[in-house]
Amino acid sequence: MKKNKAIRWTVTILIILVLFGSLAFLAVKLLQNKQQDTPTVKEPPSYTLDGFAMDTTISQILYGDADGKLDQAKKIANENMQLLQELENKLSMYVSGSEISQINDKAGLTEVKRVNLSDDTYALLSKAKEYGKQTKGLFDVTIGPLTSLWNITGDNPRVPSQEEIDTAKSYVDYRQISLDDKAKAARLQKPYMKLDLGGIAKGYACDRLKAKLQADGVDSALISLGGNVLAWGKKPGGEDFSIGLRNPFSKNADDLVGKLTAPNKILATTGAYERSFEQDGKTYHHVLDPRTGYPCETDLASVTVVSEDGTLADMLSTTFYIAGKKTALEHLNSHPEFALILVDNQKNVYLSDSLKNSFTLTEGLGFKLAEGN
Amino acid sequence: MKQQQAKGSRAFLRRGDLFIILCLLLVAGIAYGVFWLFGQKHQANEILQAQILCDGKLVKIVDLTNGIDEIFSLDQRPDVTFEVKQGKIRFINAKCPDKLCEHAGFLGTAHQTAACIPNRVAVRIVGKQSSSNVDAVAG
Repeated sequence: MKKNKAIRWTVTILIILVLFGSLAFLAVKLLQNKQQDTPTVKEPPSYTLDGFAMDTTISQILYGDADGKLDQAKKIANENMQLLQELENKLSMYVSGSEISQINDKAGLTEVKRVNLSDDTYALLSKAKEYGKQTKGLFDVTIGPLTSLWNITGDNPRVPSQEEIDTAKSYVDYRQISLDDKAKAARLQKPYMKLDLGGIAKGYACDRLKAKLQADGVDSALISLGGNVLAWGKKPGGEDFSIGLRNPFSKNADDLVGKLTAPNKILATTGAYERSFEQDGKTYHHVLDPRTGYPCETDLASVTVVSEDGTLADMLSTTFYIAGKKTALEHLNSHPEFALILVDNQKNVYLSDSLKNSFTLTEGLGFKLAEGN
Repeated sequence: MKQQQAKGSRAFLRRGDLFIILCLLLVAGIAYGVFWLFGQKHQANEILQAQILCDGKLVKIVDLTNGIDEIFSLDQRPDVTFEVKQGKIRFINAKCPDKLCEHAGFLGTAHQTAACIPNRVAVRIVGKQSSSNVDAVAG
């Protein structure tokens, strides 16, 4: 009888333990849920706005006030989109009547006065000419005749004949851009010349957006212009934005070479994977070499430039991509105003020293940090 | 003696004991049930959606977490076709020259985007989870 009584007590205690265990488990889980929900309530809400401008997709995330008001973020995001559309209408060679189209239409016409330009267009064109000089023509915004000939971003791209390429190439020369500082006007000195600001316009747009976010008192925003990324401030929790670097060897946009944090910086990347077409089994990408008139042949798979100056970053990513690894490596650590992430065709990744603590390489995809990194 | 043993056996499995055991198990079951429901509700907040934009305007939302596999075209852009399969979405049969939208492949984690620029159609994955754990992708 004593034995039965002992068993009964044991069973009862076990059941009570199961019950209390269940209740404790439930209480812990409920508490965990509550804790997970708490920051969501306190965290300033974000406003996301996507759209198209400057021939690419625009993605904006702006965070609202601490008290949860999103009105200001919504207003600024919409103004940003308007700003980008205004810039496109000024700077695009594909928009009929844009300031750049007006200059192109009047190329070489001496009897026509120079085209008067807005502050945006004049500032960017002046920079572009200077970049042409600094890069000895490797970055040349008068590449328009070749861009139009190949039509890689258009509906009917094709491989032109050598004669066509030679002719178009003869019109490419940044030194023939004539600028009038006082009148803020410009003209192209030779007929058939054509400006194409596609290599720096998005970077410049990032600069304008950054200035606007600062002026509007926005603390935290992440804006992407077709792969050019502006990381403004930190996430509401105080954490830096994490920016992935696309794998240039993969067609899947989710594959990353690695990720980095770059507070208040603009990232510009150039790679062959961005835009291309195939003809007779060969792939032709969109980065044209002004020296040859053909898509550039390079030993780099992608070049990413990290800088506070978006225009500079955009220009340099194209220039170093065309120039190749040897030239890019010479500039890896010699400029405080920008940092580089170079991925070569053998999947070696070269980092500027200033990025070493903020970059994490993806494991298992065959990428390796090059020696000295 | 026999009487005492019989009494002892009854004491071990009395109706009262069984009733208490059942009550306790019921309470424990209810506790698990409540937690399961909370869990479902929490999971519901982590649904992945594909937001499809046409000319910058949201025209369709596809539920990737609980949705069905399908192939569809947009009313606004009949030339643009999407395939939804096993919680992922991709562009297929795009009538554009570069086919870059198709090359983007299947998208199935938060923050991923792909676009058909010639047709001005974009797809963006929205949700709380991201396998790559990044806020944006450069390149």
